[in-house]
Amino acid sequence: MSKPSDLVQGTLDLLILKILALQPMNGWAINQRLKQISGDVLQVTEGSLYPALHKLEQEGWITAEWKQSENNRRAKYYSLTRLGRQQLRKETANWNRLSAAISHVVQLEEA
Amino acid sequence: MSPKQWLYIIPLRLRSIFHHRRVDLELDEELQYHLDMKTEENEAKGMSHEEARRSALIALGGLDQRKEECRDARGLQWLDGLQRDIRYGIRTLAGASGFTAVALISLSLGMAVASSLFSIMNGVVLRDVPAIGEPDSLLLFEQPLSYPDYKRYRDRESLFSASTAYTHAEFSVSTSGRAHRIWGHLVTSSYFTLLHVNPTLGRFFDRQDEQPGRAPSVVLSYEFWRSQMGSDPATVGRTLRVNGQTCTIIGIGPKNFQGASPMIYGADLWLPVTVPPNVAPELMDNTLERRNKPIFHVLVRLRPGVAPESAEAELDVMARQIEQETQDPGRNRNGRRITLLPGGKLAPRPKQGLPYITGYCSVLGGIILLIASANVTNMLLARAAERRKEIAVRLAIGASRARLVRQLLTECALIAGGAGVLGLMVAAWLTKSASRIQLPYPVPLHFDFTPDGRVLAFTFALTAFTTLAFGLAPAVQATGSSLTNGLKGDGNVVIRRFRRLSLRNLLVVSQVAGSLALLLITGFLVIGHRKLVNGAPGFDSRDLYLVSVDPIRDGLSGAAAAAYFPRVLDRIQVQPFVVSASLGSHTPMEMIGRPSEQVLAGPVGSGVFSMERLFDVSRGYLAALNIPIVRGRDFREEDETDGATAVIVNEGVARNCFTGKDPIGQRIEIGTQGAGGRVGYVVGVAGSIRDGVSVGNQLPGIVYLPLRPTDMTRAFPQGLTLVVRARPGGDVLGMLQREIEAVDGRVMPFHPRSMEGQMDQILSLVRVVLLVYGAIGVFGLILASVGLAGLTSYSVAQRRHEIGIRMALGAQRINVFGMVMKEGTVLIAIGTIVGFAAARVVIHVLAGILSDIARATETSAAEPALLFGAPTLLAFLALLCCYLPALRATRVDPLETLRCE
Repeated sequence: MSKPSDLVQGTLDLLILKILALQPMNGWAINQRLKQISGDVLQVTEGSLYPALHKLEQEGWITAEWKQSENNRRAKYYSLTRLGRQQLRKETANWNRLSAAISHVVQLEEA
Repeated sequence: MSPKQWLYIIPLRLRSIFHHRRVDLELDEELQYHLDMKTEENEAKGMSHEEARRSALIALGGLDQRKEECRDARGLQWLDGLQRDIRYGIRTLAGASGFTAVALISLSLGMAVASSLFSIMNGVVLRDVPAIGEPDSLLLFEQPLSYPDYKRYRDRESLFSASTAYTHAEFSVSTSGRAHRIWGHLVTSSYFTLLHVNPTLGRFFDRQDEQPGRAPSVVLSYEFWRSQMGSDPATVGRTLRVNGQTCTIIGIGPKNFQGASPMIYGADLWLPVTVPPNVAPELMDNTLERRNKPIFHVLVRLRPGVAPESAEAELDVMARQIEQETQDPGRNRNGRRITLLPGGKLAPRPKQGLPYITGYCSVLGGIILLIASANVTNMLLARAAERRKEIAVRLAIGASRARLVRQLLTECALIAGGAGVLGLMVAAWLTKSASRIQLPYPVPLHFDFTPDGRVLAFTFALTAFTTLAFGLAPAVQATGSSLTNGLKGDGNVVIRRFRRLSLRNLLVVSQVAGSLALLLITGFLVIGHRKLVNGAPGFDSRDLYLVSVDPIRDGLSGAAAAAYFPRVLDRIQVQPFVVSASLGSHTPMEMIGRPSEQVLAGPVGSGVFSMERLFDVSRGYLAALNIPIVRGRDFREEDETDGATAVIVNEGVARNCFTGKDPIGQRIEIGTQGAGGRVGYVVGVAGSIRDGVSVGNQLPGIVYLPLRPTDMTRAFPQGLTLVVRARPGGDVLGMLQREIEAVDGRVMPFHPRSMEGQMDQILSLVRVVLLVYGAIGVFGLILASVGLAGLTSYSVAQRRHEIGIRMALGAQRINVFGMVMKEGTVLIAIGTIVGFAAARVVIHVLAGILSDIARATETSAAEPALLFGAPTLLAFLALLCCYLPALRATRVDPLETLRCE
């Protein structure tokens, strides 16, 4: 339950970075966005989001700031740092390489 | 990770550590927000509030687990662990107050002594000359040189970037009508630039000031300016009377600057070496032109890249060349001519000698600290035995061994840290009192013993080291115990007789050995130094009063000075309370910094000379001091005429020069190196006296010459001293000063003192040494007894069960008692032997390195009181420490023991 076993290792980080690259968001909003864009394909346990956010913050890839949310409550908004942008580029490249390799292997089997 | 990333991350991590409470609160709020939103969403789907909240919690997967995971993600876990360890450690230590007190006292005493020794060493040996720049590239010629020789070396520009020559002298200075006697340096104009010092006010000497015929320029020290001129900014440009001559003040030195060698010859005043001799009598008789006046200290700044050794070798070759060119009488002798010392250090010592001195302090400090650490290790071992059950339980319920060792080490670090702080406080106090001790220097000087950064670093290193040293072994041993035995709670019944190499036995042996070695070493030193203090002086110091006068430096002409002295003597001799009065160029046991004159003396025509001390005295000097005349007679009035030839020698000189002959009537040649000798006839032999710190058959040889009218026309380096034997009861010193001023108002009496005061002053340094060694010895003894008591009680506590069983099975009290005592005795015996050997070796090594230790210990190394007393005392103490717990052990109720089984 605690580990996103349904996600490929490390992809949660990539997803979070990608989402935050578009605009700063609070935890709840990230959660909603994750559900919305991945639909039923990717099941992200709500609880595993926060440890992942804190880890990314400690790594210096995202930074947090307390702001008013749309329903007028204080919420912690995360945004991407310069280091985070670099990391996102790196991980995206990695992902592309990996997925390309895998789909290549899969196609080989079919042929 | 890139360094840039670290720069960004470190503040975040620090925030997580130091503001963890706030970070935690924020985490709560963040998760609460999520929960509330989710609840709202669920309510919107039509759930009841309760249901919506429950469902939200389930979706999140438990609030506390998430928080824990987030904290893990922040890497806070170890910090929490550490906090818990510290809290737990403090609780346990507070619970075991006896153990904590002993451990804290032991360690902080040990650290205090060790870091005091270090800071005193730091204050004297390692410290640079205050206020000078780039001290490391300065080198000092060990032997003073003559000025012509200095000029030869000075021109060796391939070796030095700069050089200076200076000599020290006493000056009589008048400010606002009052005269002062101060020390100063006669310097070349390069002196200040070489030392890289800058004036507080005005300027320092330049080439112009070295031109002859100008009104002399003078530079004053900051301290003199502050205390005598009231820090007046208009001082520069004013005039000052120095030795009766008018000089222009051109500058004030920087704060704390007391010249190039403040430890040996501090300076409050600087004059160019080219001033006329009426300003500085040291320069009389063309001193700057003469090779036989080696009075100049030479300091050089080495060019970058030149090794001191190669400079030394090159200068040595030059020195031999100069000797050949000038046909120096000593040109064919063997040995090295030039030795260079580190010139920027407060105590210029040969580099090779430095490790020995620092090593010596480290050995003493190290032994103390070792004993202290051994104490604590022993106590920890004892506690480990008591805590075996607790540790076994914790291991059994799943604590890892590493985790437990960490916990135990935290406890040690707490003790060591606490002791480090306490120790430093005690050390600060100790060294502060040490630096307040009046040193026997006539020059204003203060040592800075207060701990500085180096001392802090040293104490910190000690703390870290002791934590590991005394913490690791017991921690590993404690956690290594067998689980089942520990849980059963009877792990102690395993009967161990003399596990010969067990850690515990080794500790007992090393503790006894270390304590004994320390006691013996300090004992040797204390007894040896006591002899230096308490030896018979060879003269009567009671009711003897001394006042110095220096009419020539006070501005009188030579002829006036020669007429002045008889008038003063005549006047003083008729005063009430005065028994007799005389005059001398030196007195016995002069203060350090007022060295006696050395001369070469030998029978005429023999060509064999010995180095002796020279006292120029008036008739009645020996009688006033109560120095016996062993053979012959004292000086008479007819000896005090120019051209008279009477000489009195003391027993030492008689032995050196006229072995096996009657010295009376012998012709004797007396002179300084390279100068023409003066020939005289021995008319009397005086008894030996102590002059400075010496004992037994090492009393110095002294040649007494009569003070003739021509002698009185020249300035003696320290003036002449009136010696007055008085009847007890009067204010003799006050009377003397009044009478001297009444004879001639221009002459200022200085250094009024009683002979007992003078002796106290010179011996005070020895007394300080005595005090230090004594304190170290006492600390060592306290630590050793605390440790021995702790250790033996531990050993008995460990064997309570065993003893109980033995007694339950029928062992007599006396048998058990004997067993405990026998073990103790064997260990103490081994420790005593090792301790003896160690003390012997250390003393031998130290005596080989430091001559004053050799001098102090040569008479005390066979002191029976010490050789038998110290081991007996320690053995008695150790056996007592065995006896008391053994007595308690035999009172153990067998029933109680059996119930525990």
